[in-house]
Amino acid sequence: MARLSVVGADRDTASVGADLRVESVTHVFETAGGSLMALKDVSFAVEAGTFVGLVGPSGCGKSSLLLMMAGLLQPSEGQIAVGGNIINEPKPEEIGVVFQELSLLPWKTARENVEFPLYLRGVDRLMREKAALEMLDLVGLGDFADRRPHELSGGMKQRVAIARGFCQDPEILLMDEPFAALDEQTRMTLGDELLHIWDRHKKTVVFVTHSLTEAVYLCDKVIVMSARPGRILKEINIALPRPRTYEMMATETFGRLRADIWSLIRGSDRK
Amino acid sequence: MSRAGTLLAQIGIVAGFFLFWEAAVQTGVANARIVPPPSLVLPRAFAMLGDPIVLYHLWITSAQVLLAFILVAPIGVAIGLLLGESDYFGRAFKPFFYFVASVPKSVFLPVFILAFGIGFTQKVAFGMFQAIFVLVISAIAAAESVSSDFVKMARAYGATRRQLYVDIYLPAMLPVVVEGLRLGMIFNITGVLFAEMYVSRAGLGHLVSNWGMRFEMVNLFAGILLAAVLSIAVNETLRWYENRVGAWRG
Amino acid sequence: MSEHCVTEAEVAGRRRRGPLLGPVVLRLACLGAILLYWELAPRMEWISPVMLAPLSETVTTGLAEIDVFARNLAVTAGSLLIALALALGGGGVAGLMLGSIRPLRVTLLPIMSSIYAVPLVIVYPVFTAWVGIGVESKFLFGGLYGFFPMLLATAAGVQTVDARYLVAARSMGATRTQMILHVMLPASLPSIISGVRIGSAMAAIGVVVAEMMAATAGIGFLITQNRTMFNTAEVYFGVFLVIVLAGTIDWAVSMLERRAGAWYPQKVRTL
Repeated sequence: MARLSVVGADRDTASVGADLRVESVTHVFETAGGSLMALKDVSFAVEAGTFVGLVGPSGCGKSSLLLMMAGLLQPSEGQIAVGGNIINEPKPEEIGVVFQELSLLPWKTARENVEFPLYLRGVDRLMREKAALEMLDLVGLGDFADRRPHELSGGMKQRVAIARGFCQDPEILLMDEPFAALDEQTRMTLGDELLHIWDRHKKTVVFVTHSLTEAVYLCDKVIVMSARPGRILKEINIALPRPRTYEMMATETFGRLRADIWSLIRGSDRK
Repeated sequence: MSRAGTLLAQIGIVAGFFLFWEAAVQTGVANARIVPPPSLVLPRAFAMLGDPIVLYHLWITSAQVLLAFILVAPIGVAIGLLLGESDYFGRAFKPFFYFVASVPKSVFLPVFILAFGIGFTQKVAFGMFQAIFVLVISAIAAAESVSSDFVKMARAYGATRRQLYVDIYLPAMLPVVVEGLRLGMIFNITGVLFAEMYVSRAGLGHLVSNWGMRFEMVNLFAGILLAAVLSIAVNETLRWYENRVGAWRG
Repeated sequence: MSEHCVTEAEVAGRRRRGPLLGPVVLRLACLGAILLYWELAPRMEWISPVMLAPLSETVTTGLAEIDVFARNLAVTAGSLLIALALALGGGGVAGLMLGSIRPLRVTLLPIMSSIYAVPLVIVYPVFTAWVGIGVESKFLFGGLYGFFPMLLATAAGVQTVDARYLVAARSMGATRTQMILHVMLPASLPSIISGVRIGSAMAAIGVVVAEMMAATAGIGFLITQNRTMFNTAEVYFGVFLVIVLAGTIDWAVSMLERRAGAWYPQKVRTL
C-alpha cells in the first residue's frame, strides 16, 4: 500500500529513519504524601524501524516514560530526542500514540475519530476522509466507518485507536498497553495484525505491556525495567525469526526468553 | 406494548380525563359555577389565541422569559465551567451555589420588588435568579465529567487550547448543559409567572390572577390551560434537543 | 494496568499557581464582605435603605416583633404539616403503584413527568376560588406542589429495583406482600428518601408562595404585608425565617435518612 504522502507534507525530515533516544532520564513527582522518584537515570535507544517492548512491574515508570516520549510530560532531568531533536511538546506528525484507555470520542463516528489528528492539524475535509477510510480498511473496519464507539466491540474499538495512531503516518508509534482490556484471543489476533501493519510500513514501535508472552512474541528487543524507582535492568534481544508464528511460542527459545525476563522482574521486585 | 400503542393509550387517558370532567359538570356532580366544563374552556382557550389583549400579555411574559433565558445561559455556563475546571474556585464557591440552590428562592421576590420595582426588569432579573443555580450546578457537573483521558489524547495529537475547548469540552458537556438549561427554563417560567401573579401590571400571570379574583372561571381555566400547554411545549422541545445531542451516550 | 500516577494536572498542561488565599479562606472572606456590605451599604446610602435594611437593624427589628413572627410561623408550620402528609403520602402511594405496575408505568408516568414541567403556581387562583383564602387553600396547594416530585422519585425507585433481587425472593417462596415489604421498599429507599427531600421542600415552597399571594395569616402573608408597608427590615427578617424553616425540614430529612440508612448499607443514589 502506498504511503500516505498527502499528510506527510510538513514533517521534520530529520526524524525520518531516525532513532529515538532516551538520555539519562530521571523523574520525580509530587504527591500528597511526599515526592516519589518514578524513574532513575534511564537511558536507552530505539533504533529506527524496530519493534521494541517495555516491560516491568506495576509502578509509575513505564507510562510516565511513554508520556515523555509523546511530549506530554517533561522529565525532571535528562531528555528524550528523536533524530537529534529534543522532544518537549507533542509532535503528532512524527510520533503517534495509542493509549490504553483508548479515548475514542464517543460523539464521533469511527471515521471521525480516526481523522481527528488530521482535523486538528487543519487538513482539508476530503483528504481527511480519504486517509481515514484507508486506515480503517487497513485494520479491517471499512464497513464500520459510520458507527459510533458504543456500537463497537472492545477489539474493534482497539483497532480504531490503532488506525488513528497510524493515520498521520508517523515514524514512531507509542503504544501504552493497548491490548490490556481485551480477552486473550482478541489480543493474539490484534497482535498479529499489528505486526502485519508494522511490517509493511516499517515504523518504529515502542510497546508497553504487562504480558511477557506478548513482549517476546511481538518485539525485536525487550527493555526490562525494575520496580520503582524505575531503572533499566537489561535489554534483551529477541532472536526469533520474522515473520513470527504461533508455533514459535512452543519453542524452547521462546520459553527461555520469557523465563529470563520474568526472573529479572521478580528479582528486582524482591526488596 | 409498542410505542404506537403506548401513545394511543396516553391520548386515550387524556381524552378520557376531559370526557370525565365534562360529564361531571353536565350531571351536576361538579358545580358548573366553579368548575367550568371543557366544552366552554377549550373553545375559550382557542379564542384567546386570537384575542389581542391576551396576546399582548402573553407577549410580555414570553419576552421576559426569553430575555432572562438568553442572559442567564452564557453566564451560568461560564460560571459552571470555571467552578468545574478550577480546583481553587471550585472549592471556594461550589458550596455557595449548592446551598442557595436548595433554598426556596421564590421567597426572595419581595426583595426583588424592593430593588427593581414591579416592571419588566424585575421579572427578568427574578427569572434569571431562579434559573441560574440549577444551571450552574449542571454546568459544573458537565465540566467535571469531561474525561481527562480525552484531554490527554487530544494534546498528544497536537490540539491547541482553543481546539480543546471547541472539540473536546463543548461536545462532551453539551448534553448535561442542555439538561441544565431545560431545568433552568422551568424555574425561569415559574418565577416570572409567580412574579406576575404576585404584583404586576402585565403578563399572563397577572391576567390569570385577575380572572381568579373576579371569579371568571372559564377564563381562568382557559388561561391555565394555555400556560400549561406552552410550558410543556417548551420543556419537550428542550428535552428533544437534549436527547439529540446526548444520543452518543448510548 | 496503566499507571495513572502522573498527576492529571501535569499532563493537561495546567500550571499550579500558588494562590494568595486558600479556597476556604476566600469563601469566608467573600461571605464576610457580603455581610459587611449588607450592614454598611444602606447606612452609607450606597443603596437606598428602602431596598436593603442594615443587617443589625434586620435582626433587632425582627427580634422586637418576634411574637408576631412566631405566631405566623406557627400557622405556616401547621399548614405545612398537612401539606406534607398529602404530598408525601399521596405521592408515595401513587408512585409505588405507578412504578410497580407496568402498564401504568408506561402510560401514566410520562404524563406525570410532563405535568411536572407545568408551572403549578398558575393553578393557585383555582384553589382560592374553590376554598377561599384560608389555610385550606394553603395546605391543598402545598400538597399538590410536593405531590409530583414525590411521585416521580418513588416511581423511579421502584422501577429500578434490581430484577435479580425479585427473582431471588420469588425463588425463596416470597408472597407478593413479602416481596413489596422486604425487597421493593428497602431497595427503593434511597430514591424514596430523595423524593421526600424534594417533595417536602416543594410542599414548603407551595405553602409559603400561596400565603404570599393571598392569605390572612402565615409567614408568607406577613412578608407581603410588610412589603406593602415598606417595612424593609421586617421583610428581610421574614425571608430569613423562611430559609430557616426550609433548612429545618432539610435537616429533618437528613436525620431520617441517616436512621433509615443505618440498616441499609448501600450508597444513597441521587435522582
